[in-house]
Amino acid sequence: MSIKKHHRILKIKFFGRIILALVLSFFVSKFLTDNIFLNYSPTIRQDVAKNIWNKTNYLAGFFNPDKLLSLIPFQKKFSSQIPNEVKNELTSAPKSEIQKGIYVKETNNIKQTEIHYNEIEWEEVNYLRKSGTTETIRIPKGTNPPPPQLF
Amino acid sequence: MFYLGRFYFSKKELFLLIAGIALIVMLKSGYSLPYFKTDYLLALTLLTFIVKGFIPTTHDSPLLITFLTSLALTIYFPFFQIIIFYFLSFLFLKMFRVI
Repeated sequence: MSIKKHHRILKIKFFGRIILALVLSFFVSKFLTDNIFLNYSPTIRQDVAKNIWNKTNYLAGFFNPDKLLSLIPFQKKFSSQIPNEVKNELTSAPKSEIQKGIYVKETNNIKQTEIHYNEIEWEEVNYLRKSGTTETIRIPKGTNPPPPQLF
Repeated sequence: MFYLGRFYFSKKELFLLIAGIALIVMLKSGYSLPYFKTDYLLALTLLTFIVKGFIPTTHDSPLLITFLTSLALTIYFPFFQIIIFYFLSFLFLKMFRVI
């Protein structure tokens, strides 16, 4: 191997290790600020162990077959379970509008809700997030925004 | 480049020193660079100065890369996270035997 090539390999290894160190420290710092420290301040959370335990359980839950099945979109699962007679009954049932853009179809003991997003009148409100930042969110006009710092 | 008593200052250190002085002037005059907060930049510059005193000049590149990355990250992330990132990166650089 020529000296030039050897130098190049050393250089790649050197900068590779720097990049690896920076990427690792970024993810560790993200983990620390999200799970150990409270609201991007040096205050340590009171429920550190509980919070990490909950998150671990949540991640472990993804490997549970029931949880994996539940990730299949709701609509697909729902439509596959409806018998054809009920489907026909629902299509012929009258549609009533309960709020602008939200329709309900009702037969004897079945209810179907249809949400037409493009028909809903949206309202933009400022929302205070858990991280302390303020964001503009869209909510249907006339409804209340979620409680501050919930998400 | 130049000597100050027993200490030798290289080109990078000189520019860092000038940047630090410029940032203090900016902080006093109330001027700030677009997208950046002057006090964050000054804090990172001072931290770099402190760290520079502890590591040899041959390890300048990793230090400056970390410094510049932290500066860029201040645009997107809270400063507390940047501070943790800054100190952790030195820990990892030491672990990977870069510095």
